[in-house]
Amino acid sequence: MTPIYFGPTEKPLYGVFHPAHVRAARAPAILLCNPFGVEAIRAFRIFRILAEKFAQAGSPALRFDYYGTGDSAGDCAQMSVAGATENILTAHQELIDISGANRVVWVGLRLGALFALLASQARPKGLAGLALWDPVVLGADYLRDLKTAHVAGLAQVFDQSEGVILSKRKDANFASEASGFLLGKEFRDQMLDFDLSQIASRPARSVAIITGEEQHELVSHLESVSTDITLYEEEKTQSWNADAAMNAFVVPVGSLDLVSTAVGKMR
Amino acid sequence: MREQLVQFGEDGRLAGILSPAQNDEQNTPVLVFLNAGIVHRIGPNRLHVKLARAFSAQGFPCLRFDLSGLGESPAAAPGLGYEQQSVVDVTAAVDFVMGRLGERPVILAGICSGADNGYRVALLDERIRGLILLDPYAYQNTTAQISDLAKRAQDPARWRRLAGKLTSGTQHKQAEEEFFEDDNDRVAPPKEEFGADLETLATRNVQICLLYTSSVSHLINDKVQFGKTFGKFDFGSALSVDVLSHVDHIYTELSAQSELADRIRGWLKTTSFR
Repeated sequence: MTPIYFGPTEKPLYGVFHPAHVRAARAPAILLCNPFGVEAIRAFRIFRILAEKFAQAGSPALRFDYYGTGDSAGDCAQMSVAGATENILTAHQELIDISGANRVVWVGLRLGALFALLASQARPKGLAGLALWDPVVLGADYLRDLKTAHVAGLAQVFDQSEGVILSKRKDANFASEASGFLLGKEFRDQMLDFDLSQIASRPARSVAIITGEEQHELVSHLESVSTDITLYEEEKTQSWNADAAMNAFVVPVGSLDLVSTAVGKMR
Repeated sequence: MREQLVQFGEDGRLAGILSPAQNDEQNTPVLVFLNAGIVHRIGPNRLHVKLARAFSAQGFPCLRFDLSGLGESPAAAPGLGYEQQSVVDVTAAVDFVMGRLGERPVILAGICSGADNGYRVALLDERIRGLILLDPYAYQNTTAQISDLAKRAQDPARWRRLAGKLTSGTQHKQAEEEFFEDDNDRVAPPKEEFGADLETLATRNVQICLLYTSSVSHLINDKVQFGKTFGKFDFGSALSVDVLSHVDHIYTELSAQSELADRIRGWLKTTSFR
């Protein structure tokens, strides 16, 4: 694997390219789209393993950090939905350039799935499929969940009630931070503004949804824009996505197999 | 100034990112951030990135990297245990920054296991002139013990567990011990050993900033306690100790992150690393 910087010189993005270990004629290249915030830290090792799994099977893979996240340039305040969407398109072209692939499948986890859906609307050349893993598709609900998790996390570590936690903070709404990460105004506004009507055209020839939750709204919307969808049912427990997993080598092997299977079946 | 991807150590196995200093001067210390637990080099809440960029902008070059088997660094060949391999890896990082930036003081910074690794390497490597130890080893004294026991006694969940164990036939003595047992399984060296080691480092004029948070409040909840616990040792003026009881172990809240940056900035500004 090779760490790289790519994208605009003044706003470099950090990525790691995993070249294919074997030649596989029809294998697409894989672009991994990170979740956000603490979920991106929890998913780091999983994405590294997943990228290597694809590379071993003949698919070159690229994982990367959005602007304002991870090792990429920029402050958290500069991270935005529009920016992350643009970054996916930049990474897509970078992957084509360095791998020589003409077909790319995007794998988006949690908020990365929403970013991938939005980026697909630019209809980039070579996009062959989308694998949406535990997708986040309702921006307002997601922001609410971030706040809930943030307050519950603080209540636990300080051994106080959530009411006490809220009453002691100046920004009691916790609108601008979540579990260690700043939520910029632009990011919040764009999340609140998002709805599925922004996915007005078919995202890609093949779309797979890997999830343990009901996704009626997303499925019905994608069907309305003539998308060929395959659903893969995942175990409901997201063992990787918990505080306890932060200091343990938790890898959801079953989910990785589902994602690999979903991508392998895309034509 | 633009950050640089770097690789060093045996076979270039260790992956890191160097943040060159703006207006770098030859004797300015370089900060090396060490992994906290298994979180990759960006640090919990991306803290290492934020601190590295803030301090490099103020003239201190910074390196963040991954130990063998963590983040972007592949595992080392089997043979050494975690602690020994960490010493080898951190030493390789010190060799790298000396080679790339020229001889200068090195400051190791880390949270929890990162602090433990920094402390171990500093004892072995005289090039280390400073340590930033965030939640390093802590030792309970009477004041903290009383406060901790009172807190445990007010925890309904502990009482429920105790009742459950007693009604399910667990021996009374065992249930009682479990009621008071420590939730934290981190193994610290004996208090005397830690104190003597800090004294050795202080004698060598290694400057040490120790910051404790609420996560060890059952062991230490006041900086005066630290002085009492280690009263027999002479640290001179090398140690700066404080307890941030309003902050959690990984500095989750943005206000805590700002406070940490301010405290380190103040310590760097007022400390001589020769």
